[in-house]
Amino acid sequence: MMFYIAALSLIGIGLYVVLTKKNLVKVLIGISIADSGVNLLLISVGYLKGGTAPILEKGLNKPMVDPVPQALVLTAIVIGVATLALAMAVVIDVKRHFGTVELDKVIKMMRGGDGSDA
Amino acid sequence: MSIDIHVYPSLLTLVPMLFAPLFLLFRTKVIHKILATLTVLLDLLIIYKLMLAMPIDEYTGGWILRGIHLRFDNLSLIYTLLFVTVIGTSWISSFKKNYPPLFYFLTSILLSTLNTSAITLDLFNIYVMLELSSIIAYILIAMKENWKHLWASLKYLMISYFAFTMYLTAVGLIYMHTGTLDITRISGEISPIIASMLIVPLLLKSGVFPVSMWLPAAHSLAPTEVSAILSGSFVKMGSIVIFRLTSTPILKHAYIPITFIALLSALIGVILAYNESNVKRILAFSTISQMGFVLAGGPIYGSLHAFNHGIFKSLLFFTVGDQVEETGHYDIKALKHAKFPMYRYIFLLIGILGIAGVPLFSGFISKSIIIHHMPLYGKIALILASIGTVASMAKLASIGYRKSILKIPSHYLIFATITVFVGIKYINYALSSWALIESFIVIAIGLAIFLMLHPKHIPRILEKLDIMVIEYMLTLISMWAILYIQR
Repeated sequence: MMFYIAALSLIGIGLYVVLTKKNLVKVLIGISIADSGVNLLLISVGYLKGGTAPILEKGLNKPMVDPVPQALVLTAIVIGVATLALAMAVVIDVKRHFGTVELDKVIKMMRGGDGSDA
Repeated sequence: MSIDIHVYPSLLTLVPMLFAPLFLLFRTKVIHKILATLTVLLDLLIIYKLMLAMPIDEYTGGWILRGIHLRFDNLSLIYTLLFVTVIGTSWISSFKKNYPPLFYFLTSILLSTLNTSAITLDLFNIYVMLELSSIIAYILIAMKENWKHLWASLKYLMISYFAFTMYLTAVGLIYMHTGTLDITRISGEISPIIASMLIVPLLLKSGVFPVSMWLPAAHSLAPTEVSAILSGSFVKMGSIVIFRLTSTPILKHAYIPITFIALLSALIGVILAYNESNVKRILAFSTISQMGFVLAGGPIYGSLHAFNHGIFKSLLFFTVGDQVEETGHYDIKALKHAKFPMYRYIFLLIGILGIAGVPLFSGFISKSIIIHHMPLYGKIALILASIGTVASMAKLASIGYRKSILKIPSHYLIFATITVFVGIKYINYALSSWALIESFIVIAIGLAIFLMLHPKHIPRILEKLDIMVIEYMLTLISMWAILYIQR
């Protein structure tokens, strides 16, 4: 139960940051926090109090934790890192071009250009 | 002589994935051509072999009921054929231009992920494919290294990263409640909030109105071949997963809110398209509208329209994109001075006749079948959207042509042939006096609107990043509310 509360509050914090912050790096951090929350949620689905690692061996008499969520989370973490790295690379380019990562200022500068996209 | 090989659906994933790194290893154009041909031919051979033994179920690794569940059926057949046609033809066109080896590597992996999304029945596998194809799309959009492209790519990246995190949450919660990730074996009841968290990211992927305002910038700024791939095959991925989910008994009721969103998208898409002056953005908005048709059509008729739309929209993006790259103008007024060369204009017209639903072209069949099977409110909305489509496409046709030497580029020819072939071969399925009269009335009113109503400039406020997040949340909440009331 504690895991669920922690996971849901992490997702909530992430959501709040995404909706309120205007700094692109902060928005990305917010999504990343929500991502960790989701991973924690997935892991806690398979958690079993007093369970062992899901590896078959001789003389095993304890219950095992569910291996499926662990496999899922491993994949999800890798995907999350890849996406985050790509997003950060693009944000660095935005910073180089506009000299700022504030969403409002970037949009205002783009209007000043040829005004086509914001 | 017949070669007897045993084929599995998973080969559709493996073959393009294995060929992809070879494009990076050998960097000469000749070898690229050979590799691309091999990939397409092998892919077509596998599809043909699988088609003979349809429907096939496969559990990866032989773990019956535990491995990833793959299935090749009618729906997969239509979608995999579309994916390989669009990407293969874009490769033909790309050999005439200077594309880096990275382009072939990425598109080959994209073909693999799209194929997988057409055969997989595993919720988590779908998540991986959504993320992987999006990562490829971000790089393809930003390949021109211009700040505008970077910004379009970043907007899409942010909103879909946010959305797919939500999709993953829903997958985790479904696993918690039901203990399975296989779409066909989910039982019990999915609460409305989980169902909407599962479906709205897929709507974002499939390019329908309130959630997909990333699409116009991304599709119109990308290079010609990339635009065709994105509009022809990439946005179709969300729709097939939605069809798979809503054909299960447990999520069947979710089809009603999806239809509402689809009809709204069909209408708003053409309004935005008609009032736009950038030619590639007209096509991008028309994609938003046509994806509304696809989703409103449901698994059987919608998949047909997805195929037809993929083909003629690629043709339109190729003709218009080549023209834009040649002249350097995006604006319709500037293009009216330059005009299309004659041969390109003919192919543009074939694409327009297809998308406008003129009899003897493929769009007529799928559009009239979809309209025929809708309830009354759906019929009215879709006919209005068809009128808008005719009006906005008449804008493109009004650019006009100039005399030029006659060329027949093979990539245009492939798409045009399929559009006409499907339109003539299967006309019996849609042909009725009612459908004919309806299509002519739609065209007449559409042309009248084009002649009388002047387009106005609509500000692009809906495409701002922070507004997009709000649009997404609003769609999520309204989807949840409708599902909650239905229960």
